[in-house]
Amino acid sequence: MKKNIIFSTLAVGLLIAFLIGCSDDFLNTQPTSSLSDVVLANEKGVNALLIGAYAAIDGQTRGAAGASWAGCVTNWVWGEVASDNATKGSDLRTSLLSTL
Amino acid sequence: MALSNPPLPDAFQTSIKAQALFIRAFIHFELKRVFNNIPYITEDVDPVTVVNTTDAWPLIEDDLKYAVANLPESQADVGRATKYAAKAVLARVYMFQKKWNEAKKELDDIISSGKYELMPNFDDNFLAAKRNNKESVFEIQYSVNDGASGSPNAGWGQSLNFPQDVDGMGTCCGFFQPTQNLVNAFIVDPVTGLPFLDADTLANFKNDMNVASNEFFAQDTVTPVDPRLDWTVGRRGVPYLDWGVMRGKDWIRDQANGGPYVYKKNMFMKKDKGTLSTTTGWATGVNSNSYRAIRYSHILLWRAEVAVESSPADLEYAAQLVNMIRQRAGNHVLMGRCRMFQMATTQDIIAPKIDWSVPAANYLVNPYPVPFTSPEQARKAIRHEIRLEFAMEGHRFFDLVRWGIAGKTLNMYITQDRNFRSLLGGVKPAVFENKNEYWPLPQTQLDLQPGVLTQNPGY
Repeated sequence: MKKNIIFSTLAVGLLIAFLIGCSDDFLNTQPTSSLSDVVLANEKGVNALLIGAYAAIDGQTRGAAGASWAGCVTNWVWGEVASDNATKGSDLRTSLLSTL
Repeated sequence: MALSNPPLPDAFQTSIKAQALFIRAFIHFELKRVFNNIPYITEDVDPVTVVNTTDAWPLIEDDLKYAVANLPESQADVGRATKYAAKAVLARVYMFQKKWNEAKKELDDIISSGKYELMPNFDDNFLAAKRNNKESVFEIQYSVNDGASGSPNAGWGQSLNFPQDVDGMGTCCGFFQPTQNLVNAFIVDPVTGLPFLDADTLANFKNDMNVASNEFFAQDTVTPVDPRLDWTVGRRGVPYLDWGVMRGKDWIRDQANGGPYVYKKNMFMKKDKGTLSTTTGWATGVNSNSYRAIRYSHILLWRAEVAVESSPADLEYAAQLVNMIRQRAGNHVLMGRCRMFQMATTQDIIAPKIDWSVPAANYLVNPYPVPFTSPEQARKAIRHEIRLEFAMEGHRFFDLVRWGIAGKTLNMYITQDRNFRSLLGGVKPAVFENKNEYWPLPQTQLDLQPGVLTQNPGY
C-alpha cells in the first residue's frame, strides 16, 4: 500500500514534468539578464535606454560606492584636489588610490 | 530602430538622437580635459579598435552642433538636455580651444533667450531644496528615499566628502578639504572692497591649524572677507549651515594631513536630514542634492572672459558682467557671531554663545569700477572671480591649464602648502611639470589595447 502511494505520487510527478517538458517554449525563452530588441524596439524601450545613458553622466558605474568616487561628475578629484583649492583630506591610511 | 514595427516617428527619433549625442559629447569632453589624447567612441565602430591620436575637438563639436540644432528650448522632464545646455557646453568647448568668436555667439544666444536669471542668493545654488532653479542651465539629478533599495540614485560620487560623522550628521568621511590658499583668496582690500589679485603674496588668513578644539582660538572678525567664503569653506567658530558651529579640530579627521577646513558647498541642511538624505546604509550622508554642472553665473563669467579675450576687447561689458556676480554675492551673508573661544563638545553648550544678530565675519564685496582699466587687470579679475564663485565645484584645475598658468600657480601653492600642513614637512616637494597638465593614460588600459592607445607625451 505504502509502495503504491509512492509509485502513484511519482507517476503523477512524472506526468506533470512530462507535460511541462513537452512544450518547446523554452527554446524561445528571452534572456532575462538583458533587454531584447523586442522589448526595446518601441518608444518606451528607446526612452529607457536613453535614461540609462543619462545615468552614465554622473560617473557612478556601480550605482553606489566603489568606482564612483574618483569618477564622480563633480570632478572633485580631477578639477579640485589636483588644484590649489582642495586637498584629498581625510587621513593618510584611507588612500584614495586604493579605491581606484 | 529599424527593428521597430511600426517605425518610430521621425520627431521622436531626432529627439532621442539629439539627447544621446549631447551625452556622448559631454562625456568625451570630460575625458578630453583629463587625458587630452582620447579615443572618440561612436556607435558604428568596435570601441577597442579606436585610436587616441585623432583630434577629438571637431568630433565633440559636431555632436554638440547636432544637439543645438535639434534639442528643444525647454524639456518637460527636469534633467533632460536642452538647446541652451548644448550651447553652453559648446561654448565651453570653444573656450578650451580659444575660439572666442564662436564662444561669444553661443553665450549671447543663451543670455538673450531670457530663460535664465541669477538666483537672489549665492547659496541657493547649493541647497538641495532649491534644485533645478532659474539659474540652472544643466544639472545632474539625484534622488533618495525613492523606493530603490540601497539608494542607487543618490549622489554617491560625493559620499566621502562630508564631515566624518560629527554632531549627529551621520555623514562620511572627511575627504575633500578646502586649502588655506583658497581661504586667502577670499580676503578683501578694506579700502576698495575688491579682492587681492595676487593673493599668494598675502599672509595666511588666521586659522586654527594645530589648535585643539578645547584650546583658546578667536576667529579674525576684523579683516574683511568675501561672504562667499563662508558658503564655500567650513571653518572653526562659524555656523555650518544649520548644524551648529564648526568646532575646529574635532570636526577634522586628521588636521595635520588635510588642514583645518571642511567641505561645505552641497552639504544638506539638518532640517532636510532623512527627507533629502538617506536614512539607511553605511553612508547616511548621501543625498538628493543635484550637481549644478552649468549655471547662469558660468554663462556670465565666461562671457566676461570672452569679452576680454576677443578683439576688440570690451572692458566695459566685462566689468558689468563681473559686477552682476559680485552684487549677488553681497545679498546674503552668514549670520551668527560665535562668542565661545574654547569649543565645548556639544552644540547645546555653544548655542547660547552665538549672537544671531551679527554676521559671522566682517563681510565685504564691492563692484569693480567700470570699465576695467586694462586687459591685464580684467583678465586677472575675471580669473579670480571664477575661482571665488565656483571654488570646490570641479573646474579649477582645468581652468588653470586652459589659461596656461597651471605650472606657475601650482608650484607656488605647493611651496606654500608644504610649510602649512605639518604632515608635509620634510617631504620632498612635488614639482608640477608641463606634462602634468594632462594625466597619463592608465597602464591597465594600455595593456588591454596594445597598438591602439598611445601614452601621453612625457610619461
